[in-house]
Amino acid sequence: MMVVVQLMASLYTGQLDSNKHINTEIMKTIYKIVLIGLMLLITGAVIVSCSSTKDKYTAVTDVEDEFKIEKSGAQLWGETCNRCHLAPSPADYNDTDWETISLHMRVRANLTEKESNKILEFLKSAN
Amino acid sequence: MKKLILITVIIVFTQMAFSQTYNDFDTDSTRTSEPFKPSKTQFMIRGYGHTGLNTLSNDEETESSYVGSAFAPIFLFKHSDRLMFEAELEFVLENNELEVGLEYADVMYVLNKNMTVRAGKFLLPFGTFMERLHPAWINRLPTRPLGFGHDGIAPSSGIGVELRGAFDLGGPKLNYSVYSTNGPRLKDGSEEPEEAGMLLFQNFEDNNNSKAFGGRIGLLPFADSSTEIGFSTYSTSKVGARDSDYENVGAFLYAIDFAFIKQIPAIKGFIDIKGQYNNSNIDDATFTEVHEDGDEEEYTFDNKSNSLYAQLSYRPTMASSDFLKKLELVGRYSNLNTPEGAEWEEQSDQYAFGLNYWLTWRSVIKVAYQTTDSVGGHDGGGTTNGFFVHWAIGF
Repeated sequence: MMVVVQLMASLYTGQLDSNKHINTEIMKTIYKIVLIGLMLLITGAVIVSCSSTKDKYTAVTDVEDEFKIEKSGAQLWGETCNRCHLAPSPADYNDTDWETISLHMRVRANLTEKESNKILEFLKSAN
Repeated sequence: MKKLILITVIIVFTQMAFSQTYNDFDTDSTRTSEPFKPSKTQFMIRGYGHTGLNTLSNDEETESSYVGSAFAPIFLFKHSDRLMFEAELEFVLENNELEVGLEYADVMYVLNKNMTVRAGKFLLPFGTFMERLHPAWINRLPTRPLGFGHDGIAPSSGIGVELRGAFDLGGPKLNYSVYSTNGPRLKDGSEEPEEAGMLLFQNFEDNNNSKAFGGRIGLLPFADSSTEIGFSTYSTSKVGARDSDYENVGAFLYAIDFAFIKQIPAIKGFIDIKGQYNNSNIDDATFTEVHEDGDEEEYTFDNKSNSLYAQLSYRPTMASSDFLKKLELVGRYSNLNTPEGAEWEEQSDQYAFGLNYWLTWRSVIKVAYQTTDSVGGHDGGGTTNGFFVHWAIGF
């Protein structure tokens, strides 16, 4: 709070550039705010993902599938892989290899579980 | 004696002939066994390698050399659908020596559909270049943009623990990661006076008790995942060695990254735009410069650096010619500004243009021209032009 007050005072007096200490404090404050935001986001994510039971999750997915046109695994393969590198040929690896690669890429590229599973099913069906 | 030998030979041959009769091919084990069933535990070696010819020239000289034969095997051990260990080694021939590095080695566990935990040495999600785009078979140019790699201002990897994951927002997607690592250490100039004030991110054993904290949030606002905007931070309150004059020097870094990849029928191909801005802000500190006559002089500077790159590439994937489909045009601008008053002060601008030919989805021949204008830096500045022919392959 003191930092914010100092920042306001500096802006008012036009001395912001001349006070490096305050600049550093401001950066640290911004960082802390971002960090707290991230922690809240993650905490919320954990609560949401852990609170849903398998039955409920399945039911919601069924309802979702009724009203929503889902992307196919082939479409996701084209869109997602190309974000970094050229989309791989399904024939280059066997099913078990694709399972290993899918887990690796799910984490590396921050893919959602659904994206990863659908792409894997497509690769296994097309190799 | 002869009789004994003869009897022994007869017994041995008889036993062999008898044992052969027990080979019942109808019940042979290879025919009655179950079909191949993959195990849950899987092991793979993947990776990449590259080699090429570099020609660099400045106002004074021209150097040409075959380089590389770099080899980076990636080891993947999948223990279950949730647990995996991954590691990447890097073998590079540089300065007439074989350099071996451990790019990353970490264990990961999928906690739930939205969260994975990683621990060990991992590539840091500070922007996207070092984590996703730096491997030679993925990077569209033979070189890295300014600000990355050796003497770069952006961290590439760290030892610690990370939580990461992604959310489907019903079209748009959000991905995140937060981590804590040993953090960087400050070069105080005692070993390399010309690099006093730089951060060294290879901190295998922490030089103080203050950890670095960082994270990245990436948003893919459109349902086709064509666009991603990311914001990353990396901060630590202490980068100096414990009980040294620099112990309480802190650092705050942030990065903004952007990516747009889409196949556009009107131009018959893929457009790929990528960019990243890095900013480093280290607390001011006083360093000592030792002159040739032995006199010592203290100096300080505003320890702020930044770098930027923007890259555009185009692949005519919808062209009628098979040859054209495999071509790719790429251009990149990058820029680096290091602190004014530092021994490593530098202002550089770099333009790179390349033509790639994709033999397969993971093997590419890259031909590129690059020109760099520098003021300051290790080489004292000036203009350096480079011509590169590289062949990269992923496996």
